[in-house]
Amino acid sequence: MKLFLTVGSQLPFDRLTVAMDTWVDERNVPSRQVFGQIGPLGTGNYRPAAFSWTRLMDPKSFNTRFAQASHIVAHAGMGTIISALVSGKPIVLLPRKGALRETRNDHQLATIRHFRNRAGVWVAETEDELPEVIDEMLGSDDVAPARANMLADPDLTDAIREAILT
Amino acid sequence: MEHSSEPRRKTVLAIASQGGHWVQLRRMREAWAGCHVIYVTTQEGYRAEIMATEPDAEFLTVPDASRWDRLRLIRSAIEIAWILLRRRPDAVVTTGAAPGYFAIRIGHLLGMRAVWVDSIANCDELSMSGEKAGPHSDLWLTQWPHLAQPGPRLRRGPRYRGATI
Repeated sequence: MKLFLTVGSQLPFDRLTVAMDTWVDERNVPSRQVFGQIGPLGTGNYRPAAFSWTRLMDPKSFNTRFAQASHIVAHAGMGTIISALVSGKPIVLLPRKGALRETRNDHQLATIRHFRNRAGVWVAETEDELPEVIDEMLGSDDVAPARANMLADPDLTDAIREAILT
Repeated sequence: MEHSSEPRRKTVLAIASQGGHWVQLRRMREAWAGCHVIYVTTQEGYRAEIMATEPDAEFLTVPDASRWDRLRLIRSAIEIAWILLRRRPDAVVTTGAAPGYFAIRIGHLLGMRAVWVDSIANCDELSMSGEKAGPHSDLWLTQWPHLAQPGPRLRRGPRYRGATI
């Protein structure tokens, strides 16, 4: 088991970072099995103690960590969700909330409603739910979810192509 | 005088900010297969990915800016305008956010084809930049059927033609 935590690069997301740190500590998970990309430090300057982490990653090291991981824990950002679906890796999502100034609006709440039924996608609506949802993901007997296509719907690209070329 | 039976190869400027917008833009690359493509984004680290998968493509970066940071927004807009004026692409395609908005508005003014594909992250309502850029686009798409508002050209909203995932 290797877990990769990623919260995106724009804003801190301490609710997720702290909950993950607590989970790793309470479950006695060896720190080498977890790596986190935690974004800019939040107002409390929280730094995880139970696993190694970095603030930002360039795309190459991000892809390497992603490829090495067996499971992902993340904010509900589309880039991360697409990466998980394409690589067929189970993922736990905790949505950022606009009211807490974790993002500009509540679009991540909408995102989890629309993606939570996909195979391999697990959702924690709040940080309190996160430990159980991670346990559930790790304990699930599901075979790895099917890998999504590398490319968009052909209907979509055909429509764009027509607009470009005519 | 030069004569050619082959139509001139079109140039497409494909632009998106880093993260989910970029990932979605790249998934649409079949749309400009065979065209000359200029990728514009806000993350230099994506260059290696382009060089590995589309070595013929060009790759440029502009400053990242959200709508909270006015100075950087202006700098980003100026750089995008400069790229469009210098390179004169036939079409601009974007998934957002701020850099895509500027590219659509300026490209539209310059008579280029403009395509806005609203990010799939906007599942309850269209993005703010999409609402503003959409009416200036030749093709305005949402990735959610329930957000499509096809209608007469002057009062139209986005259409739905499938999704990037």
